Amino acid sequence: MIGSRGERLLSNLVILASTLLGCFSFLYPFFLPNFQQTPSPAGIRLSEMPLTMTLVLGLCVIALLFESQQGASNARMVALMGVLVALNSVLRYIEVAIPGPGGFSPVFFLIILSGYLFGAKFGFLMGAMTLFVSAILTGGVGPWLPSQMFTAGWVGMSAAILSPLVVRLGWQQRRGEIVLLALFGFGWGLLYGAIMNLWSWPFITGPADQYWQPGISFAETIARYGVFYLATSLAWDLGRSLGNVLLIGLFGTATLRVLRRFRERFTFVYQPAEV
Amino acid sequence: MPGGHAPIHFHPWVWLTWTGSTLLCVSLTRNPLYLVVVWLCVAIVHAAGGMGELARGSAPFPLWLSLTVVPLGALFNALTVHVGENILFVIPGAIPLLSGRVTWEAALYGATNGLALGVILLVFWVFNRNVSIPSFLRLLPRAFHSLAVVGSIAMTFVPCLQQQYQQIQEAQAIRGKQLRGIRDQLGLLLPLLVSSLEHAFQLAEVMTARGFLASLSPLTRSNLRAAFLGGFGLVLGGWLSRFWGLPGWIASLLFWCALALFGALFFLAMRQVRYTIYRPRRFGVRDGLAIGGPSLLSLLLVLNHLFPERGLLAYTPYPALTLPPFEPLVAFLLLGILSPFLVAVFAGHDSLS
Repeated sequence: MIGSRGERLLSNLVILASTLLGCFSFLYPFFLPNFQQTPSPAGIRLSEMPLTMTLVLGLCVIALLFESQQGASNARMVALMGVLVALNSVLRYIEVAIPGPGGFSPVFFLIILSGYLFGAKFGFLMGAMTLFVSAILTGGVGPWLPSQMFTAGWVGMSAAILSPLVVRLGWQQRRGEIVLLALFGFGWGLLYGAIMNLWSWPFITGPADQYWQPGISFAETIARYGVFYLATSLAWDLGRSLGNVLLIGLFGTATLRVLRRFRERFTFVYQPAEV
Repeated sequence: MPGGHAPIHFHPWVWLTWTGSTLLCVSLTRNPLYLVVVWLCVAIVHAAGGMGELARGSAPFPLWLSLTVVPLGALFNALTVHVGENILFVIPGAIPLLSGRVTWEAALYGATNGLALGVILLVFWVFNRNVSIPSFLRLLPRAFHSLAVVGSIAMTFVPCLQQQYQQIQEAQAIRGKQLRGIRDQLGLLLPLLVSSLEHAFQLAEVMTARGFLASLSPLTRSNLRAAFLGGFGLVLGGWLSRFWGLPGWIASLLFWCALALFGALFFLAMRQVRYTIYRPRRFGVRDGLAIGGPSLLSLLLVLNHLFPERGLLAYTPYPALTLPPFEPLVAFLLLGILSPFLVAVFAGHDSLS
């Protein structure tokens, strides 16, 4: 039987491996030139790479979901997550019905705050489940869903990194905490768009300086993606980033106060004294 | 169709397999002739009407809408990709993106991509139409039962949220509070958040009282984690084998072994989770027949993937336009997508009359 330390190690290894493999699945266009330059007797069927990568990404989502659901392993956390996901799904439903400016989306607000307060696993689930449930509600189930779930999950998961940082800086429940969260939201607003573009970028063809073509070098791929992103996505993604900053700036302090209060109630455990 | 038979509602597994199989076809080929066959099959299943649980209530999705992406794709690609030997015309000057030769090859490639996108849209529309939300949640593997519970809570809580929002709005209005700017929304959103979390707390108490337990046994968890790591190792091995220039079938085999490993261990993990279905949905003979076509098609596509040397579905119009290959046997196999429709026809499905 594996002890609790061994279990934790295995758990962290699974999270690390699935995150790295997921990153590779998104970034495969940047590695393809290496494959292309390697002679192979059967030839490498580049047309099948997207399908393979989608399958691998699906496996990573499954592994991360499985691992993260341990973060909602008791009734209280399940109920808490269900209700928060419902709130966030309604926000996304409103966003679909009445689109905001650019890529503005209110869903990242709660995902970031949940990941920050309740930890990486909870944050990942919050992001992934929000996208899953809201896709069902809005009829938006499609091949893009695993990528969206994965990326939104990363947003929540990575927000947990801020927690020890804020403690170390002594910014808990101070203005610095909100500033840091707002900066984090701004960064992820752009990064979310940049990652989601990669889902479709290799399929798109267009002007040679902006699009991926088989056989181009790694540096050339990055340069082309950079031009593509600046030309097509930056303005759109800025809407999302600024929206995150606005929402965290306006509602962050009050929402964090409420979530902190409920966190104490939801994680309260009664242990009778040993006789 | 005479007779007045009861409408057929296929099992959600039929639709899941059908969706997966069709998406696999679309992902594996850019041969426009095969894509046309796939689109026709999906369009027939779509036009046959609802054969699932949501069948009668949902609004129709016009077929032409799925085809609008074809000319758009052709136009966009032809105007922006100046690659190919058969020139249609040349856009003079130095207009960014547009100037250069407009070729038949680029137009065909754009149209083919548009058609693939159109099929994907149509397939998901058919799936969303035929599988209800409870059935969709029930499709989640039992190993993820706590996530399915999260999803169920979220789904059922959405209407409650609407009610709560209205009540808070009315209460604020009675107090004479007017919502002018975005900052005033805090007066609505915070009470909504607090009351929702209170609701979650009560729900958790009820779940605990009824013996809800979300976690798997530690041994199963460890086995699954080890299997994940093994599976990831196989995937990595597959990539490295391609990187080192080993034959393509080795990588394919490793990828499929990883998939099989994940599938087998999930099956074992699922068996450990006990659950009760109050209204079980039987998988009947008709469901078996309807799932047969897509399953066979998927199996053959996977076999084709394992032995890439054949390249049955491959086609690209670049650099010079050629007639896409068309093997009648492949087209016949693609007709497996039609099987839900064919079963419904032979069973005398009402909505086909």
